[in-house]
Amino acid sequence: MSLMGGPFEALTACEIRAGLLEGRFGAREIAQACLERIERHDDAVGSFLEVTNEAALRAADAIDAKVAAGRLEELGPLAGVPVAFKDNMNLAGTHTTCASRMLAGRVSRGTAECVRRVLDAGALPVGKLNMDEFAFGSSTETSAFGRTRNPWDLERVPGGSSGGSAAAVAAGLVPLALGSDAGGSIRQPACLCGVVGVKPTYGLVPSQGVEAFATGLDQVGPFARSVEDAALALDVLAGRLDRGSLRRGLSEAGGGDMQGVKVGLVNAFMEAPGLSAEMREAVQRAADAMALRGAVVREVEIPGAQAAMDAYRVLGPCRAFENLACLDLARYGCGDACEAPLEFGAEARRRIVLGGHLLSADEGRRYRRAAEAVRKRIVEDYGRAFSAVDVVLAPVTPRAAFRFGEVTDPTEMHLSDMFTVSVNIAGNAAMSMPVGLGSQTGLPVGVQIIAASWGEANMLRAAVALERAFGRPAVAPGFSV
Amino acid sequence: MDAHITEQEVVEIARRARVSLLEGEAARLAEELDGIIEKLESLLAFEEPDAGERGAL
Repeated sequence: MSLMGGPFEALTACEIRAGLLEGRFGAREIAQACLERIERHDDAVGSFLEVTNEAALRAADAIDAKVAAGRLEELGPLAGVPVAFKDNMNLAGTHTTCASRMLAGRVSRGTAECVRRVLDAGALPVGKLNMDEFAFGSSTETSAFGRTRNPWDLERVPGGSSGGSAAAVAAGLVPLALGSDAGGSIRQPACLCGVVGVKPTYGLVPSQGVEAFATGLDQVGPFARSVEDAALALDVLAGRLDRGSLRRGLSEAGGGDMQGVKVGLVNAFMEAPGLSAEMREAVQRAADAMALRGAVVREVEIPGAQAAMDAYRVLGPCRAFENLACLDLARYGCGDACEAPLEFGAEARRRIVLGGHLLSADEGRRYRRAAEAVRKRIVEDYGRAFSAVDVVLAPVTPRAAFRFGEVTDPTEMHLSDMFTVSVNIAGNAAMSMPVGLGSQTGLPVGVQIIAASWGEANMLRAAVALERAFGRPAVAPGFSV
Repeated sequence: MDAHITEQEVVEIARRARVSLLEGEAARLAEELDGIIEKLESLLAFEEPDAGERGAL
């Protein structure tokens, strides 16, 4: 469906809002175009677990009423923008299952704060998105409710755990989606699906109402098809619509100019065994593009990052086990059924048992102490790096999207996060930025831009430079007009 | 060498957590997780004896 002569899927969130304000189309038209695309294309992709047609149309009609009454000043920064949410985010009246059979049929009574902020900003809630069960995974293959397919190659995974969110944006079903990232679960699927994905600084976005299973590590963040949209979403999520607006800061910074910006490259990442040639090339191409725009590229070291995977393999399962008790609260009114066994999938069972061991055994205490020492070390390493550079450029994940069932060894699956987990452990900001297609696979490749905590402005400035160099991410072929 | 985690312990943790296991899964998990913990031993090089634990961030 087109909106005033143009395809809906080609519009960014900012363009949708601008078109609404200029009277080129109405919010109901937007909602209908979006819902029609979901109906037409999501059978192939499988990104949605639930589509909220009525809620989207109701929100659209409320916006149209304001426009008709001339109350344009009441329209929020996301007015008329369809947004979908990873299914670990409570939205009242929708099912929030965390893609687990254990929570099947559970209807949210409340709305997560991050979701509320997006809706208060005028967004149209179109539905809930597939994920790895309880966010335990890197491919969305552990969902109890079916697989999500990568829109660039339907025989391949979209990444995970926020695979539904990445795929929905990549296929042009929605311009914006929210996901969560405890070890790479926004950045890695964003990379594999060729879209922008941001993990903000830990603490920037409220987590109340999000069923998190890695407290202290995970953070809600946006998926988008433009840096400007990502900045706008961050402003809304962080409650920074006036002072400190990241989107306003982008236009003030001068689009794409990197004069005087210091960019770090981590040699240990670039030489890591298992990093594919095309992902290495992607990082080098990005560094070259930034240098052409005036950046100074230099080497930095993050020695503690080499132990980050091991530390994450201790901290993650421990957090998962600790948060398990919350699941009893999640099963409202279960009565005697609360004594029944909890039906987790295999990966969830693996992590919970490992967490239980590490929390109860004497030797577990040693591993936890060591993991916390690694955390301290990584924080210091990044602190030293960011005293020398403004941003660090790194791979997101070792390889482009793999085929379903290709990676079955859990240890090998965890390696998907080898370049991302250190950022979660340190609490820094980082994002995945698409930089075209890989020279070997022809699939999307991306780079990770890492900033100091609260350094989102630097991160987004560097992202704009790459967007100018490589273009805005396209909707996946086969899903675009 | 003693295993880091035994089948019996897997069963006990699963019982405490009310996690239901498939038939034979306890033994499989014990072997798999024992291997994972074995590989984590290099992490102990970072252990600081007086670091203590900070719990959740």
